[in-house]
Amino acid sequence: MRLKNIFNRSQESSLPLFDEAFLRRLERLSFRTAPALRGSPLGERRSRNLRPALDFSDHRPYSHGDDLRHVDWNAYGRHEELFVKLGEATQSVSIHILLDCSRSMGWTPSSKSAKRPAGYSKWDAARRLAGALGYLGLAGGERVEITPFGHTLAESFGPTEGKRRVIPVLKFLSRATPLPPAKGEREGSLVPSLNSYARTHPGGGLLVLISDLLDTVSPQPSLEKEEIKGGGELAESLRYLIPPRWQVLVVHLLTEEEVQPTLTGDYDLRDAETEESLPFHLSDAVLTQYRLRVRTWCAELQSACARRGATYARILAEWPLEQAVVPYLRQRGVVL
Amino acid sequence: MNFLFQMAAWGLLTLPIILILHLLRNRREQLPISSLRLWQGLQQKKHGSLPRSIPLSVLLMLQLLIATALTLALARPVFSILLDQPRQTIFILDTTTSMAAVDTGSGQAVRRFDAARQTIRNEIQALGQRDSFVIIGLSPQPEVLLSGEAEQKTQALLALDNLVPGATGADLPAALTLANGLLDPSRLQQIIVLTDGAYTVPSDLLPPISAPIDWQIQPSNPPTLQPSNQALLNVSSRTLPDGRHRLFARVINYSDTSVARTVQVFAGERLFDETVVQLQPQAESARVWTLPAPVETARVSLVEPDSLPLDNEAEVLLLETTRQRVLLVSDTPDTLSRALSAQPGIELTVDTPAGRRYDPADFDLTVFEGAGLPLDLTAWPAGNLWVVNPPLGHPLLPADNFSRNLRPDPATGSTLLVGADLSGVYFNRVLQVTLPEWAEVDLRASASGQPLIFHGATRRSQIVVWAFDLAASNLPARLALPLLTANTLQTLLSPAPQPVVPLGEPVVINGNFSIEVPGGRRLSSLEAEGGSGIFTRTKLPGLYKIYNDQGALVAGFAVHAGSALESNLAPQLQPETLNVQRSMFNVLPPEIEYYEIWPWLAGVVVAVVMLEGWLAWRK
Repeated sequence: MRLKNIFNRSQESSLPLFDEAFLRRLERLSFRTAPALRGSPLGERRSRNLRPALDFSDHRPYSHGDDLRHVDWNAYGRHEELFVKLGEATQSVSIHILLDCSRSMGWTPSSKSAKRPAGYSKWDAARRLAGALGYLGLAGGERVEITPFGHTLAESFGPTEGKRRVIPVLKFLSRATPLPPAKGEREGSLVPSLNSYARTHPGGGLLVLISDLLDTVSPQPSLEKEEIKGGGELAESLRYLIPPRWQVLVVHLLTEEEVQPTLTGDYDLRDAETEESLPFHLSDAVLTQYRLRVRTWCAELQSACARRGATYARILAEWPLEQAVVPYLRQRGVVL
Repeated sequence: MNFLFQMAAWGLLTLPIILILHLLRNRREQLPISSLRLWQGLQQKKHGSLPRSIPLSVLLMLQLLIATALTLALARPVFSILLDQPRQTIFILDTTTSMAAVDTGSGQAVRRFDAARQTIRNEIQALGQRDSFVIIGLSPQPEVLLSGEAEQKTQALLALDNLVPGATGADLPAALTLANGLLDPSRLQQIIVLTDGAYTVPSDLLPPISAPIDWQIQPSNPPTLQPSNQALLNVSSRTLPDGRHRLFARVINYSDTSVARTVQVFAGERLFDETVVQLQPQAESARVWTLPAPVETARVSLVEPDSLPLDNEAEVLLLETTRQRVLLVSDTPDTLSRALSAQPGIELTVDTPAGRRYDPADFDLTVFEGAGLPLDLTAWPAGNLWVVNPPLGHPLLPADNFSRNLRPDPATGSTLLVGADLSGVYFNRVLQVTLPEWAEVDLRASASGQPLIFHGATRRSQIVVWAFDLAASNLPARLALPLLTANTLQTLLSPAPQPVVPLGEPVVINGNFSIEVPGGRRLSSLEAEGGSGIFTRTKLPGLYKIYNDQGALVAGFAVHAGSALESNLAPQLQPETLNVQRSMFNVLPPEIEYYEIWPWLAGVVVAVVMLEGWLAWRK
């Protein structure tokens, strides 16, 4: 009941993030992490590393410093050598959620074309997804850390663990707002942000990057070739987050209007981040070019993720979270 | 629909102004997008050449509608029930001789008059029930040939078939004046002029016309062959002293090519001569023949056919038919008989008062001099009477005495005195007659004012009275006597018909005669024209013979179609150059009810403005 009240009286967000029933259904899911992923030993997640443990799985010769409680004295009696009993250790994995809070994430599709209610934006969808994944991690006993980023990393929430910490997580997300653009900031902010994050988190873990990745688009694409080199910057960003230390899930969050624009006519297109305008006559030919460019861009991003061992998931903000996003993530093997 | 204030059409300029304002106002709509990066570099037209279409919006449509309705309202559109208005069509049909010309066009030979008549027939047949029509004959004396309502279509069409062209000269201004006077202001009027335009009209003579004129120049289609016409003109004769007749004729070529024409001369019915005449373009040739004495008629003809057959033949009457018979009853006829005999065309017969051998009714004029006027006359005899020196005590001219030594008043003016110089003339014996009621004084004495010459008419007679004695005056020794005599004869005697008259020209014929027209039909001159003495049925070329009661041929005249006015078939009239004043065309007839619809348009404007306001408020 308290949970519902908190959600409904949220001052920062005009929309409730979840309802209680959805959270209960969400508890049945868990992240599917790589067994090689390192974590803290007190978790519930099984680790590929065998450690001295009470539940027997294997033996290894005793070495100095091993806990004598794990010595197999029966084996010593038979072989007169000290062996330590090894077992599959459980661990908790750190869940790092990086939430893109650039101004483009707060962009709201035009009411003329948006199929969603007015005011619905990628930012809402991103916060809902971050909240859901965060709750999924807390419910699974993982350590969850949420870090908004724009051109730089913002103040993080966490790491925290325990299901009861879900309310502070959601409050944090409700208070989060898209960051204003930095003066003269034109270059992409993804590379320095992920580089900085990787350096400050050497332990690795499961990193969920929620972003529209528009920073990866080259501002001056080639006119002759439909190449925008968006995959290059993403690959460069993921260079610091390579397995086995890191398992990366790239959630590419876009809107239907960004993928399949339908408006035609004369418009001044205004960039939500830089406030720049560009006069355009939106004709069918132009829209066809645009759609082809978006498809190419997404394919490059997916290819870059594949090269860096990351999982790429393109999600439309208009998709309902429970009916579309969660099944999609299950299909992609992100959650079980 | 008419517009009473057509200048308001300038208000339509507001339409493009509104469009321009909307184009200027129609800035590009700002469309926020997440990032321009995906849009940059897309192939599109340059910004400056981006097409800017007219922003079709409800407000624009409403504003255009408002501007259009306001402009129409300012123009004051007027609806009138035009189709229900009765029409009046006035046809001015050229009935001159040239309309008998035949034009060869489109492989068909069409007579101009027939084509014009067919046009009128079609127009009359198309008349509505309330329409009316008038047909005016275009001739030297334009007249109304036919008129009526649409109900009289059938009779009109039959009468139209009987019309024939035959007149020399066309008075178009008079015809237009006549048509203008016949216009009915309560009807929609139209004047249709059907003519071949073979005449010229000074534009300054044209009257202002208050109806539109439709000029239909015949032939309507340019003929494949230009009209080629040769005509016989001035065919005349005179009697030579030996009794033979000298016949004269001119042959004129009105075409633009040289032609050879065969001229035949018939004396009576006998071919007298046949000759070929070479004619240069627009040139003429004169021919003279001397015919033997015992010939009553002569005929000249051109053998080869041309565009106007009517002027290819001309007849003349070789009888002396123009003499006037005068009876002089006098005891002393010497002076007057000399004066009368000197007048041309006078056949004088002298009688004495005692003899009375002749009946005055057989003469054109009876002259009573002195005692020649019988004292027992109680009423003036019928006919033309000239009384000179009436006797004292006559009941018809009561008088007391004679005056002596009177001189004429030079200030007295009368047609009887035209050209006569009476200065120095004295009258030593003048009857002091009491002026009758029917009389009008032509000459008075200078001192006493006593009438010397007066004239007048009773019910049956025309009378001129010279109240003085010629023998007691010096007038017979003056030149004034033959002039006074000629003037008196001209007053009393209508001139004899000319031996040759142009086609369609009226002829004055006094008395009751029968006239044999070409074709052998006889008409009574009195019956034909209501006793006016004017014979107008001269639309057929040929000989017109005048017979008296006894059936004797007493006079005659010939009607010739050939004339300089009609034989030249080249069109000269150009309607587009005629300055016909038409200032009244745009004025609706006051009898026609019409309705202004600007209040309705203003209501539409108000309604649209309210609709626009509501739309703006709702937006």
